[in-house]
Amino acid sequence: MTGTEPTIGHPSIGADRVSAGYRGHEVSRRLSLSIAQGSLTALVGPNGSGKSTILKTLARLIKPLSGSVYLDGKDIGRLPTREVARRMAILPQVHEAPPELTVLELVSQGRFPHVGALKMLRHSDDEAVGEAIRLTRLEHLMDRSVDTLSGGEHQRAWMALALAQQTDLLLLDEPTTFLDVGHQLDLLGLVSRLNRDHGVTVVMVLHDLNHAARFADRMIAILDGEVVADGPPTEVLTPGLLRECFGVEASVVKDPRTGAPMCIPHTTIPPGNDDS
Amino acid sequence: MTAATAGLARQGVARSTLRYRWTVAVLAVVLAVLMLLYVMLGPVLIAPDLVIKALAGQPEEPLHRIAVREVRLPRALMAALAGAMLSSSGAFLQSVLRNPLAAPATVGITQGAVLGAVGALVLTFGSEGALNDLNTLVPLAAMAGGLVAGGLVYGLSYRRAGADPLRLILTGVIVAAALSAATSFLVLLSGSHTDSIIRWLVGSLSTRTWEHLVFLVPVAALAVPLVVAAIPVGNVLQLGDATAVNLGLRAELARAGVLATAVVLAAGAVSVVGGIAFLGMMGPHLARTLVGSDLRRLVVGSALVGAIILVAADLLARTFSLDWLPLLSIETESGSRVPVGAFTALVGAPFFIYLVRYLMRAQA
Repeated sequence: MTGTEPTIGHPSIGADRVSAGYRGHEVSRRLSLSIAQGSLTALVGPNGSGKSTILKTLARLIKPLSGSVYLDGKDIGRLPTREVARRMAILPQVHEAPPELTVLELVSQGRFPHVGALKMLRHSDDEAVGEAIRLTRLEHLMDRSVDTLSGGEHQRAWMALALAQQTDLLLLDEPTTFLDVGHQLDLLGLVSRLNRDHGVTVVMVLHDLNHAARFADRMIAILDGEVVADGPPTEVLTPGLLRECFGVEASVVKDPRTGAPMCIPHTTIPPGNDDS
Repeated sequence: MTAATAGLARQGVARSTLRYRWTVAVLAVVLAVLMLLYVMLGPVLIAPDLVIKALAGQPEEPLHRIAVREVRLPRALMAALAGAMLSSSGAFLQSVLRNPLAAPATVGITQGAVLGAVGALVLTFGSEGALNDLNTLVPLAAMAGGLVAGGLVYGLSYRRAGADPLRLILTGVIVAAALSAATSFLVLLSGSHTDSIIRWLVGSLSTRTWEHLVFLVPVAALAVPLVVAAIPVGNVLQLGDATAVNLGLRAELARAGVLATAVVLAAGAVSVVGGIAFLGMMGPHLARTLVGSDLRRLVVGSALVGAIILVAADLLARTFSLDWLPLLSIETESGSRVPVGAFTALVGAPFFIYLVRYLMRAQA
């Protein structure tokens, strides 16, 4: 194991020559990357680029076809899964909740990895659950059924479940999909605060490039399962990348308020014309 | 700050706990009243005070002792226990398979147990003196049939890393149909004795005595630790496999464990009361509207609702068979009583249709 794990900075989670994907369908080949503790990283890329598959592999929701994922320097596949759950939480893209399950009951399940199965019969760990509800501003919706919530409330409830896990590492798979712009900003603001004030390391897959550039301190662009650009948003979000990665002609300007790069897409490039 | 935060969740828990406790208390009272009625009513009406005397072993008339302690009480207890087991089995199945139509009878467990029971009946017909052993042989065969059917459905659904919930349901429906066909085949082969077989097919409590209860109680006792472990695990698993893994659960192992619990509960119940229809689906749905979907409450609620439904249905079944209600009296051609399963099916079918319509509306 020594010598193989990534050691840049204080790696929180990393992939070492990971081939990710499903049997018969390899999405990425021998990918290595390392996420520094305390960073806020956005994975971006076109549909089908493999960014979600890579995130799921990091989150151990999919086993790597080869290679290893490391959590704090240890092979995640060899760590007890409950121990991993105490250190890393993931917000999946698709949520399933039974009808008539209240927000409070949902969020309480976030304590499972800490409390353990049998103690969950009685224990409720009010402090952590209350804190998660407060952070996501769900105080008034605690008794509501999850299936009656609006899209934004729904996403906040699931976010609260992940927060109740009280982990140092948070992986988010397209957390803003299906949300209107206000709710998108709300959620990303929360993520940003968690990162800044609580030191939570965040890796998220995002579709909105401008949001990624504004909230993340590191952007990793993925195309066909490979890292094509990696660095601070100012270096990654360029007209060249938009052409190569997304096949769009775009200008990149500076957000006058935050200084973050902002792209304005103009037209798509017909396939075949972008070969260089 | 943290004290206030903790208080926030604690208040939420306290509010829902109060409501839950009231609901459980009301359900328990309803069940107790139904059980008392059950023991009072029959060909001989016995007043409540005389019921208590008979239970205490000091009956006013010798007949009361037999009616209460040998006939009605064991049958009432069996109805309550079997109803509770079937319904809580359905609660686990619906949660873990994440499907509102999941129930012991839709995934083949009931059909497996019925096939076991009917198989044992058909095989022992004709052999002299077998009837004495029937009371243990048939439930054992039914139990085995239910367990095998459950294992078969899981095994057939298993591909690569696990058994996908939707595949489990689809496989279950097909296995259920195949097992029913096998049972029909056996019935046709046997030729005679169809009356006792039909009572197994639709589910019946007539002629059930302490002997059957003695079989059911150990099964229920064995299921208790399984249920206790399956509740918190099922609570996580019903949030989807991704969330279950995220929360540190080995999803496939957990699913197998919860399903095994549901199979033991349902196979045990069917092995003494037969293929009661719809109860395993209806019970958890009604309970969900009363106590919600947290399995810590849903399992208790489903058990109570299931017990209430089966005791009430059998009370009806017995009442319809009474001679002093000539207008309502229904008698089968061979003079036997109406099986309770016929009543749960009659009530269950419309409920099923209501459920489908309700679900369609919710999706629209």
